[in-house]
Amino acid sequence: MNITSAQFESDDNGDNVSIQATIEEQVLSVPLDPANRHYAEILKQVADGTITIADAD
Amino acid sequence: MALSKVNPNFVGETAIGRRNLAINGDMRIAQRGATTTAIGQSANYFSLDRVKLFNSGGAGATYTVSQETDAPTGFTKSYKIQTTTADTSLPAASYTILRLATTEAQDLLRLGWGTSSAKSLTFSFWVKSNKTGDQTILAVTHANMQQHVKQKFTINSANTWEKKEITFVGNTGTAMEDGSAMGFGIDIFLAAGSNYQGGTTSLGVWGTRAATDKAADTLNIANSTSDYFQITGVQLEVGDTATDFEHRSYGEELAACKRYYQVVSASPTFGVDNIRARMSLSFPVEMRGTPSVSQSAVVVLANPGVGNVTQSGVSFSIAGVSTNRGGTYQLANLSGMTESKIYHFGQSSGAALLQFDAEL
Repeated sequence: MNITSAQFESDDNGDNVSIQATIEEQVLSVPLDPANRHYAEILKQVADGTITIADAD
Repeated sequence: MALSKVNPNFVGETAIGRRNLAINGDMRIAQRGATTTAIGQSANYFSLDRVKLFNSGGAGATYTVSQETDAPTGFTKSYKIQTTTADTSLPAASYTILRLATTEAQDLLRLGWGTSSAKSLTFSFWVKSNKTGDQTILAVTHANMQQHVKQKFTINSANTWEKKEITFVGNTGTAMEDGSAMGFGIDIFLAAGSNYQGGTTSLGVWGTRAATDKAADTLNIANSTSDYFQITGVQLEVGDTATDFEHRSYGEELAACKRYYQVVSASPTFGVDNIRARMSLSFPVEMRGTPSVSQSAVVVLANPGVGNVTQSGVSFSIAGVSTNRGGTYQLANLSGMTESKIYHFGQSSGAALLQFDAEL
């Protein structure tokens, strides 16, 4: 899975609720749910050192 | 009159309803659109529901995927992958795979895998290609198992619909864990570099999934822009016998697909501030897991009595609570919005769709 960017998105309280990621050239809002295939792949690539997740704005 | 005899064909496990574990096997559902062009290096679902395409490992081949009306008797649609850029010298680690009949582990526990009475699965389908010859087909397991078993089929005549039936023996060695993760899928290696054509994996023997031990025969459709592969009538059923395709209604099949992917084309929204709008949605079908969300094009919101508000660019995100049943979502990149005012998405938004993806 080709992931070219990843940044946390936060709710009105400032808590991280998702990751905005560009995956296979598509911008997605990815939930922090290990059962989600995109989130699972983000975690894998972070562990592999391939990508990092930027802090929320 | 008492019923004195029951035809045994109607009491066997495979003959009673809901035989087909595969969803969208007759390729009628295409929530992502009927055609996707210029598919390069990618691993995703394109056009037709429940069919995943892997084009990975650095090959230069590109493809178009489409829903076609060309189909064998008894079917009206098929899935076609057409090579649009050829690669005649595939990198060793490259592969093009169609993954079909992906099934959640929790729906397969009745197979009794990991026991001596593990049940077999039979996969049947109609296929057509300009290429002839042997083609490897793998049953793969994910979740806790991470194993595969290989079989092959042969395309005998070019450009001719042929029906194939393949049985995968039950896995007696490893049990499948309960849950909504992928338990099983079918991989067809349509092109493969040398890594995947090596190894010693034998037909019909379960083993650990290893990239370099598949000994794959491949039609190699990456070789020419004349190459294509077409499939329909996909059926996965318990047992060692292929039965006639189980036709289900369009609505039933669409609902089954929505567990993994669905789109929303209309909803009321309300202004959060001058640049954002939110909506709360309840999915018509509970999804497999919490979905990733995206949008297909910029959204136009109707502002009653005033006019339209158009996004300057796509921005659709999870805004707070989000589950497999629904949640609160946000559109941004708007302008001139009024807090708490209702705006209508779908009244004048053209082809824009909000997309929810909980695929395996």
